[in-house]
Amino acid sequence: MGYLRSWKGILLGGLAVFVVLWPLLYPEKFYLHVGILLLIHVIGAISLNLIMRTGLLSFIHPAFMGIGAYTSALLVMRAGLPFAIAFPLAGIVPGIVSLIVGPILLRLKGVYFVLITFVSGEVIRLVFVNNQSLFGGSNGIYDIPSARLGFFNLSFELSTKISVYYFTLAVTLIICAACISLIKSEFGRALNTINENDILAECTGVNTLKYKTFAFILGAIMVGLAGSIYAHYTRYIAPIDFTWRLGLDFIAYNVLGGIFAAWGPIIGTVILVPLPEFLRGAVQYQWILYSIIIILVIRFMPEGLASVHYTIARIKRLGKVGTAQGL
Amino acid sequence: MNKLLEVSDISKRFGGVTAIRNLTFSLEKGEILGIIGPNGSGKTTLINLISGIYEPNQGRVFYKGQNITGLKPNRLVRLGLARTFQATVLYSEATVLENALRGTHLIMESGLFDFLFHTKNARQGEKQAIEKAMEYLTFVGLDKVLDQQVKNLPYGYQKFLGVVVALATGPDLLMLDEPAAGLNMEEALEIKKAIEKINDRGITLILVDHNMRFMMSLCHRMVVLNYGEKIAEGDPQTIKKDERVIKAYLGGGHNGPHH
Repeated sequence: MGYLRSWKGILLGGLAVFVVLWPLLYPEKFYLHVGILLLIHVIGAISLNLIMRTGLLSFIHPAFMGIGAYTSALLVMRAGLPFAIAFPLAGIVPGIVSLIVGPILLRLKGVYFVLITFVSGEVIRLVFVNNQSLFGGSNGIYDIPSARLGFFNLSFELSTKISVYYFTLAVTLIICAACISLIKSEFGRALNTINENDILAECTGVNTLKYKTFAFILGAIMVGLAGSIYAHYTRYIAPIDFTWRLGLDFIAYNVLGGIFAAWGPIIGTVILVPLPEFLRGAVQYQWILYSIIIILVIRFMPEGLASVHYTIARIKRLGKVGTAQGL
Repeated sequence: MNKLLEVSDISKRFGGVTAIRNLTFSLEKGEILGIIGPNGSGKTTLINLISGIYEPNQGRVFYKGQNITGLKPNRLVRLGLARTFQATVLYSEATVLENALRGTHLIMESGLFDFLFHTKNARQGEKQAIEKAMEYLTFVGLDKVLDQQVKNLPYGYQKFLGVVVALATGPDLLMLDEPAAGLNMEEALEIKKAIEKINDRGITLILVDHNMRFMMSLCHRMVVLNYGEKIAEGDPQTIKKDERVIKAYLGGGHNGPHH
């Protein structure tokens, strides 16, 4: 166990150094752009992971990201609020929406939950599409100003890609630390009990609806913040940015990396987001290869890439059982 | 009033089928009450009604003088009302110790702040939970298989573990749904001893089971159900001689409920 821990330490340390030095190693705009999008997707994946741990597939997540993005953009552009105030509100507003819809949606399970969140997400998206005057309809909102840290005179504009990268990195690290800390606590254990057997969880004193709602709200707040970063970085948002397809991506990151491994969603995102870029050499086969990779991982590592050591242990155990039974 | 539980005129219908009809009975503190009846007589439905899994269509349930009708299971467990399940309902992917720990969940009353920063409060709660879980596991002799995954456990052990998980919630009233079903003679004897020990600790019990000999030897008092109605109530000796009970079990030409 000791060497595993130190192994983990080295790996984490290396990763930390790498993400901090990334803009210096690859100062090209393209790499920075991929880096920023990657971090935004990491927030999406890890915030969705909280609710996925209870065994629910939520497709409403991109809609919460959209609410965050629109809230932040409109508060800065129409209300003239500084980004420093609009940014937290971009978390709070989807948080309030999830507090209202969560207790209703979360009474459903399985495919019913998938369908209702899919439909609810689309309803929220259609509100953006159909409200021309406020949300700009299908064209969305453009010329969103860059994020500014600080207030009025004492503020610093995140106008360069490198400054946006570091700001996004800081937010992502804080959110990831909070999520991993929660998952490893009694709260995370309660989420696992709900996934494994929700009736037994109820009968051992877990208020399943409360825990699920709580995970749902926390996820909405975090992804709302990611939406705000996205809006002020790309400076253009439209309803098409927040479709269920994005939700499917968030789910795929979790499945590929491992839903029940603390680092799973991060690993899954880090692999899947840049993957199409690596497969550019074979453009016409890009999505086929992408799909094949996902299928292979699911087939041979059902616990996800983050659980490679489990897979190895299982193969070893199978070998042992085989010899014990004389197979 | 010394009643721990009072079930007052409850009914439960599923569509056109009445699973429980105008049922009334009560329970004293420290008692072992048996609920028996032929298959489909509504025994498990009754447990589900008391433990909050179902809500009755009519009637009320009082626990320690408080109206608990319609409360969710997680609230009832907090009040000290725990249950086990007919099938071995457990967290099958988790280990024996983890299962027991999940039973102690409500001992820990840490807040979000404690969760986020692993405060002293949270760590102390965790230590307390492990001690509690170990105590109950040792109590039924499961301390030898702590790290086993539950799905690899023999059926008998799983049944015992079900009782431990319920016990770990610290109940005053424990409802066991078919604790002896599927067990061999030896295991049934062991679970009987465990139930007596639990009762010695001052925990009141409701047992549901088919095994008449098992029930007769354990219960202080029995309620007999047939087609969702109470047809008899009393101590095991009276029940044994009750004509209607014999009829319900052996069939006396009646196919429907008595009116």
